Amino acid sequence: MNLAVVLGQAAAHLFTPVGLLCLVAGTVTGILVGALPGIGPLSGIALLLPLSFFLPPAEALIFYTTLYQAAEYGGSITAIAVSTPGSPNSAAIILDGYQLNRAGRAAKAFAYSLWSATYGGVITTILLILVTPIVASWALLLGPTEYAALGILGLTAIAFLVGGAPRRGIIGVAIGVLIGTIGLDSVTGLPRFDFGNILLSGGIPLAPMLIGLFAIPEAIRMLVGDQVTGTTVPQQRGRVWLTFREFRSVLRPTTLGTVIGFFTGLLPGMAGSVPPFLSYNVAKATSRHPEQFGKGSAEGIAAPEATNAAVMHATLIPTFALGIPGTPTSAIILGAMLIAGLTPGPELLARDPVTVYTVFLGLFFGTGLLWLLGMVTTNAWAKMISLPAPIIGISIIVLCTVGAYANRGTMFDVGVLLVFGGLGLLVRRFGYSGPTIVLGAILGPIIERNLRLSLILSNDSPVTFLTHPISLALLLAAVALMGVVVATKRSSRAVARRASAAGKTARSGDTETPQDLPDEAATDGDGASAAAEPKSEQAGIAVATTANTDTSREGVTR
Amino acid sequence: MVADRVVSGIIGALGVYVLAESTTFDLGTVAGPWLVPMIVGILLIVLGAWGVVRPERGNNAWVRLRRLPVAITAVILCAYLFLMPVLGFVIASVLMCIGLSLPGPLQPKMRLGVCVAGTVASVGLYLLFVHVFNVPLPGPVWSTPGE
Repeated sequence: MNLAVVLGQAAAHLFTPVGLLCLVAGTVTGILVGALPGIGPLSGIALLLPLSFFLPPAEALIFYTTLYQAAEYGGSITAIAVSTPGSPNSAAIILDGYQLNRAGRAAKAFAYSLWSATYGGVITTILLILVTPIVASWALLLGPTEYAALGILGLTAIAFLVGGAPRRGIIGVAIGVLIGTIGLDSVTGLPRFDFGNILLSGGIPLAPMLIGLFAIPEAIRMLVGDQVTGTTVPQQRGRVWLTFREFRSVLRPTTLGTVIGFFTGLLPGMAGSVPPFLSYNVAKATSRHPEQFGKGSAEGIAAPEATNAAVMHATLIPTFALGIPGTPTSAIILGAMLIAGLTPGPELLARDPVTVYTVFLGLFFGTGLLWLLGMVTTNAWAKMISLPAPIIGISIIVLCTVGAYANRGTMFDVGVLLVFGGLGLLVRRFGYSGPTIVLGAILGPIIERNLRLSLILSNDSPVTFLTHPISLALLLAAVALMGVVVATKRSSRAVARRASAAGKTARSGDTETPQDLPDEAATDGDGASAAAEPKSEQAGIAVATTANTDTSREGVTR
Repeated sequence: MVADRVVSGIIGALGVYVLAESTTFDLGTVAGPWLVPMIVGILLIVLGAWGVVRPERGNNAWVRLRRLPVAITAVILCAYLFLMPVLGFVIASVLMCIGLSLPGPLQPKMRLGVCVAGTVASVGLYLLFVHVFNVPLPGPVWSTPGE
């Protein structure tokens, strides 16, 4: 079908009362969810996942995708206002946004953030509309062998890049894949790991699992965590507006940030808090005024903000076109698609293009709506984030319970919610990654089905993965990725050890011990490079770690 | 370090269980239902053993929580799960909110705030789901009219 015709039908679908209501509700809820420290897009969407039971598929996805988009900006409001990022992705905004706020120019900081998010959002939504069908048409050429290899590459990237330490990342993914095998086997129909419970024959219910893993631990932290007050400064009211000259002054870093965000967002596992710091560093390196970075530079706000918007849109391309989510949040959106009865992947675009383009158009108009709402309401949101965390926490627990129960009307799902809530708490406590579990649980069944189909088609010969050129290339890419990550970690540890040794030499005679070093540098943990090189030009990651640690220590304003 | 050893040991034990269970599935073909569970089981055993031998200190940037309040919270949530079908959603939720306001390091005013917010959320969600969405909530008391 012609793209223009599909877009016309999608527009007709979007501009209905329910479509517009979901657009507005998604944007408003997104700003709120992003602005409340500790919730963010991931927990926010997980928490509201049960809404997909009551809404038609396109409208539900409009709600979730616009919520995701607005939450990225909402996180920056908190970062600028109270130096606590609403989500880890907004940590880079603190560096200059909070400084501009302290200088009495909070409204300008919000404006740079909002306008850059809008610019990045508009450009990448257009790219999303244009690139997704191309990727989907390529994906139609892939057989089960290539699909399985693509899934393995995706899981490898997630295990090695999202999970922190590779061992912990692989364990997270493996546990996720194991969760994905629970229930009736999709090929033979045999029950696996269901302990004879009929409610488990369809597998672990997705909504209670996601809500439990992400929302319950946050709610418990808000309720029983230490009460520490965030750094606050008096809010200066003003118009969230940029003159043409001001906008032009940040156009170059905003464009740079958009490009970096778009390409990193396409790669599974690359999105997160790293791309905004990467674009911050690139913007600083190419700026005419690098000395202003860290002191309230407008470019330092614009580049990471545009990157966040671009990453968010780019991650939807593999999610919709391939059915392979690159980030935890897009994995939850993929889960919402499954709950709504849609099967993500190239067939979805071929079979139901109007639904897909309705969602994309919703994002496009949602970007405009975010800009409008941002200008009018940002000052109010900045005040609202002082809502006490325990109040938010208890409300989340009650909402989670209803959300888990509502779909199937069974207490078993509330039990699943609490079990996964406990698992989420343990996972965080012991430094593992919840998102790797979710991505493993969602991608695992897709990989398993294609892996076994390709083996059946090749008479049980695993060599088939090496004789198909695309599959071979993808598997080699997975091996190369593992090699690069392991080599990088090793070199980081070596640098940390050298820095530690140099520090000891310099302080010889002093009574200081390695205990004076950060924990990560004192051991061969994964934060070694960050701890050892805080002033190097690798400061992207270093600052990311520092900022995340600092802000988590600051905690939530109560 | 000790914690990582213990967690790795548990992960290794889980791997042993998964591996043993996967051998009970149909082993007739390479592409059988045992394939992925067996791979996962072996991975968990190897990585668990690795963690026991060479434990790492986790990059634990998440806010540290005290064990006792978390344990009390877990007990209250379990009780909530079992009380809900008996007392109904609203009463069980209000009791749960009162219970959860106690273990955390909150000021007395905040404890009251938590109780009030939890009660408002419970009643509000009950009205929304039962009377607007027509979705029944658990329990015989104050749940679906006529149930």
